[in-house]
Amino acid sequence: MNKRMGSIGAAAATRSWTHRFTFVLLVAFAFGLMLIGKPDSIIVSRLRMAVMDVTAPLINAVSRPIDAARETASDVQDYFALKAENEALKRQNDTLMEWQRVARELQAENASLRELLNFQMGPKVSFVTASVVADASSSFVRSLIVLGGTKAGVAKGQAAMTGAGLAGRVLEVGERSARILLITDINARVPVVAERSRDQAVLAGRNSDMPELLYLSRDNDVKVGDRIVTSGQGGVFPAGLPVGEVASVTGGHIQVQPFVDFSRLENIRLIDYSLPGILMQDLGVDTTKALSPNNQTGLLSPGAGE
Amino acid sequence: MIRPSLGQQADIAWRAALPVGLTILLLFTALLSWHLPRLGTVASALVLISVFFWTVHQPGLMTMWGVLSIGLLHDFLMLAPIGVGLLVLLVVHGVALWQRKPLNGMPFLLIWAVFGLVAACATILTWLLVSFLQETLVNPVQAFNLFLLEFVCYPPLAYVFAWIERRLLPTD
Repeated sequence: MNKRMGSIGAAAATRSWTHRFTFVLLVAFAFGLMLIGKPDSIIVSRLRMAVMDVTAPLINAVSRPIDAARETASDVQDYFALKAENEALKRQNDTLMEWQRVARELQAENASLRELLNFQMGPKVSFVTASVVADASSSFVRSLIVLGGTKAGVAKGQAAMTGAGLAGRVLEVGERSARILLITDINARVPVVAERSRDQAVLAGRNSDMPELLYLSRDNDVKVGDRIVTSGQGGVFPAGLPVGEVASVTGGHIQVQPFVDFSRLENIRLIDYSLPGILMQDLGVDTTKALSPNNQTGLLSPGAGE
Repeated sequence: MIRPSLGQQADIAWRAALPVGLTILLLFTALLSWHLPRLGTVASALVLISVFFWTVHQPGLMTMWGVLSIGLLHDFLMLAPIGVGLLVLLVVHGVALWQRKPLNGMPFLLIWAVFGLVAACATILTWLLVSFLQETLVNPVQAFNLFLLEFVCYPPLAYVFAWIERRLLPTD
């Protein structure tokens, strides 16, 4: 009897030790995963995109009834606000017609000036509209999952835009889904310029709603309300994309309120500006000669027109 | 010995998978496009509460393998530094398992307080790991928000889980 009890006790002890050992192994596995994933590991990235490729369409399918219910509620609200909205739209239409007139004048002026300068147009941009299936933003990361991957023409580095402005960039791409790193994420860095004062800076996310401006010159003239746009430096985004507005300037900390309302993102445009290829391929001319200091013929050269 | 029928086996299987399945379902539900800001924080909070609750009340059904699958899925979907969520969930599971017996005899308010302590430590650990991996001090206010959400959400979720446990799961 005692022998039997003893063997049961020994088996329980062995089981307990095995359990503890396995637990320690799993903790070590988690540590290992952290260290493997710390640099932008290709294995982790591929695994992550494989999981997202499976789950993103699923999440999207389940989200449809929610979207439909929300749209119906919004339709009912719209119906009641129809009259007031109609009047507001009429007023807005008048203003927009005036803007259209101005835009046409500017377009004509722009075309004639371009002709005068023999200006070479940049390549046309292409874009893919992808629906946001999940907002995976949390306390420690700001990013989205969108339904659209390599099959739809989405590529790493493309700018993610809404009608309001820059939202982020494509960080990882799977076959059917992609991960967008928002400009508010702590890892996001966007070269920007203040539209009025032309002060250059880097917009750095802080995992909060408002990113900050870094590396501004000491004698900068940035004020609250200034529009911030991309500067085009670094070659990730083209110049002039609207980013946000300076919300506060306190003790050297300049916070920017992004134009994009991140809580209402439903669709996002992923735009391919083909930036790395602009100079060498897309213009169809050998621009290396034009950029050369010894070149005497191209308009890009300082000696042109002499 | 009478072998259970196929229907009975399926019944036992889905009940056994309930805690882990429910946690994964909560993670997915929080990630659906509700168009509310930072639902990822809610997803992390729900998962931590679920792992703690089920480890204390049904440790046989919330095993470390279950925590492993939840943690991996969480890290892949939440897009946070990989491994961090898994490690924190494993630690919470380990602590809850270790203190399971005294916790089971405690009144609810005391269990809530202990959960608060565990959640605070888990949040600090997450904050430290993320800061280390991103080589910069992450805003502590965000970490505090996560803790607050976990602490506040515990009573209602624990109530729902306890109801599910009473109705659907066998007594431990």
